[in-house]
Amino acid sequence: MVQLLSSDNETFTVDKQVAERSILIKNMLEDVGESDAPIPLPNVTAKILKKVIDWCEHHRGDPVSQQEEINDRKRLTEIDEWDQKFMEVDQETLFEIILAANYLDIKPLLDIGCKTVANMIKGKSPEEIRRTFNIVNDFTPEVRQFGIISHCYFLAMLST
Amino acid sequence: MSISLKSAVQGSKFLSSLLKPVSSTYANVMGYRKMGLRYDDLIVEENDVAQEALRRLALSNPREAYDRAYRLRVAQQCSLSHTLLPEEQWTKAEDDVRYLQPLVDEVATEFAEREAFDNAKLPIELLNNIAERLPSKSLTQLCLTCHALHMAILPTLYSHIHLSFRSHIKQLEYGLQVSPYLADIIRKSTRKLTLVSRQSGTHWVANDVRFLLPVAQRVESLYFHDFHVLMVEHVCQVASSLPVLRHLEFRYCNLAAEVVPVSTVRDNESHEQDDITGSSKTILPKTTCLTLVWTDFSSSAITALLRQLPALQYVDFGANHNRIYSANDSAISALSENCPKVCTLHVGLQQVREQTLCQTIRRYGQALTCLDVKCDSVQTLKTVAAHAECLQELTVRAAGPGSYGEDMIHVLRQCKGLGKLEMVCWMLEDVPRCVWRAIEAVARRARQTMQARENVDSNWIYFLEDHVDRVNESQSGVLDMFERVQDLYSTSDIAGSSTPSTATSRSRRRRDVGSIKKTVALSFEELTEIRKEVTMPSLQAFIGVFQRRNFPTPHPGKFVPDFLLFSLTQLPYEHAPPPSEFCNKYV
Repeated sequence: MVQLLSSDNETFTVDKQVAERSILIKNMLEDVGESDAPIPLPNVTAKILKKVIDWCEHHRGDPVSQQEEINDRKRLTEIDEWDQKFMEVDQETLFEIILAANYLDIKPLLDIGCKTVANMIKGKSPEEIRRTFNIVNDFTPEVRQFGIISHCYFLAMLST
Repeated sequence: MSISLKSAVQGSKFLSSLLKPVSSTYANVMGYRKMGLRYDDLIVEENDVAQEALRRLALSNPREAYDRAYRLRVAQQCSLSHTLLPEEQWTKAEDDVRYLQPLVDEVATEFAEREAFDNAKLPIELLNNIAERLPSKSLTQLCLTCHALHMAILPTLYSHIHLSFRSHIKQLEYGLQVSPYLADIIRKSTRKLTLVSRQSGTHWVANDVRFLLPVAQRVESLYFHDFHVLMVEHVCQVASSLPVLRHLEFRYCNLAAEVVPVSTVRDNESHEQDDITGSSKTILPKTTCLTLVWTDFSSSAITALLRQLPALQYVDFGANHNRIYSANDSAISALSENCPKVCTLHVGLQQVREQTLCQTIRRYGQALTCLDVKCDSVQTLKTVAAHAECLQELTVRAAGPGSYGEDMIHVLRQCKGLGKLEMVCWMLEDVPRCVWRAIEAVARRARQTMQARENVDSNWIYFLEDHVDRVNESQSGVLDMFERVQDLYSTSDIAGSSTPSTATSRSRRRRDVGSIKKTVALSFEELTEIRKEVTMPSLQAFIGVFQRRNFPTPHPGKFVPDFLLFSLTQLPYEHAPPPSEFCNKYV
């Protein structure tokens, strides 16, 4: 068993196997060896850590790392049903999960997070993307002009 | 949060008359005025907010900004020399106005507002991770949302430039002219360039893309699609202006060489010869990878192309429908003549004589690490066993009749480093017995690892138990075993397609099988086990069994007698059970 300490000082006790889904923790355990002291994770709040642990519990038996084919766009955005449910959270949480996965070095979870965001972007117009992610349109007219010019080639591709 | 009584004090005459002298005395005592500074000169400027405020100050009121700089210089000088200014130069109380504070406040509120609204606070590498999953259409949309995303996504968007319609090419050309920034992006991040022919013309490639080539200097992969006629000269012309080009690919093209009219042949011959031989070493010295997919060519075209590619290492000749007699054959011989460094060779071409193929294999010999060829007769296998001993991957597609079993064993024995073996379209009885044993070993292992998890598909177990029993029976068991293997394939295929998201480890496992399509995967342990068996002399004993043809087929409708697709695939280690677990069970 391993103890994890979130940034807001909440302690979680998890199986070693579960905790080792995180390469960061795995390396830490290897470096430090067996110890009862909780591992501090100053970049992760309790709420997010709980989610991440849930995910790791569910995926504890997965083969550790499969070489993913990057060529296949479809596969790049395909998500397991359970993971889809798991990722049905508000945006802030979603981004925090992604950041936590990145920090804890849990590549499959990071991938799922990125896939989820990619799916949110896919097939939307700029205005819709702005609305989805609360992005402020900060293009000055000149920049917008420039942006359009530089993309006219790709924009043309859209219209075909 | 600080509570300010400023307005209250200013509003009331009494308070103001009471406090004003106190505050001015305080200001004087602070001493900055004695150095000619104003109160706002003391604002800490080493942060984004103050920097932005100063930038705006310089824009809106250059005089003020200049004075500020002057005051700071004077004060610095005073500080260094430990002196104060003469009293007449001190800042007067009425001059000490808050010229900067309003700007700082304004910027601070703007920043806070942006922070509050800005959700996409992901670091750039995560943004790129997301961007890589999106089609260029979505990337373009994303680019147009806001400034930060525009900057972050542009490199990904332009990493692969896909040119087809002439109007797009013109637009890109115009974009490059008006924006040096775009040129910079392309220079830094474009790695792939795809040219697609929509019109039947061919000349536009060389001429129209000319503007792009000096900019796209980091292009590593060049793809040509759908050219009805593509002159090798044009290909070379485009490719030679890309200094780091590594990968050249043709899809659905028809390669041709310039046809020199008969009358002028003599005049031009010496000149052309010089041209080609003189430049052959320099045109594409770094291109190591060549792929042809459904691409036809004439003998002279393919020879001219291969002559420019002396450094080729990975060659993939996909199948084509070449009408030109013996062009495919001469492609293979031209390859072995011009490209000495080939180590990976896929030949899907038909009409290649076995003799030519064997010659090529002999020529590359031990340099070959990966080979994918057809196999007209046992001769090919014999050549592989004799010359290409360092193979790591081998695919043989049986094309002609013959019994390959024995020679396959020989290959297995000779090529000790073989990690992946595929036998495509083999007669059932040509597959050596040890391969069936490998299936059994896989089955056993699979069951073991499956049981280690909670959810095991009953079909699997059923198949495995049944299969293991059958193996122990007799040679006719092979047939049933084969059917069982087929059952397994079909169930796993169905599972892969119809339930893509059943969220259990079981479905994951099954989907893995589904995605490798009709291949059975062996782990490293089992592969070595087979090899041990293969090198045993006693092996000879059961080969005979498989040389008999015409198996009785009990279920003609279900059984596919002629084709068997089977492969031994070495998976990454992660797929194998951890060594300790494995040893406990078997050793």
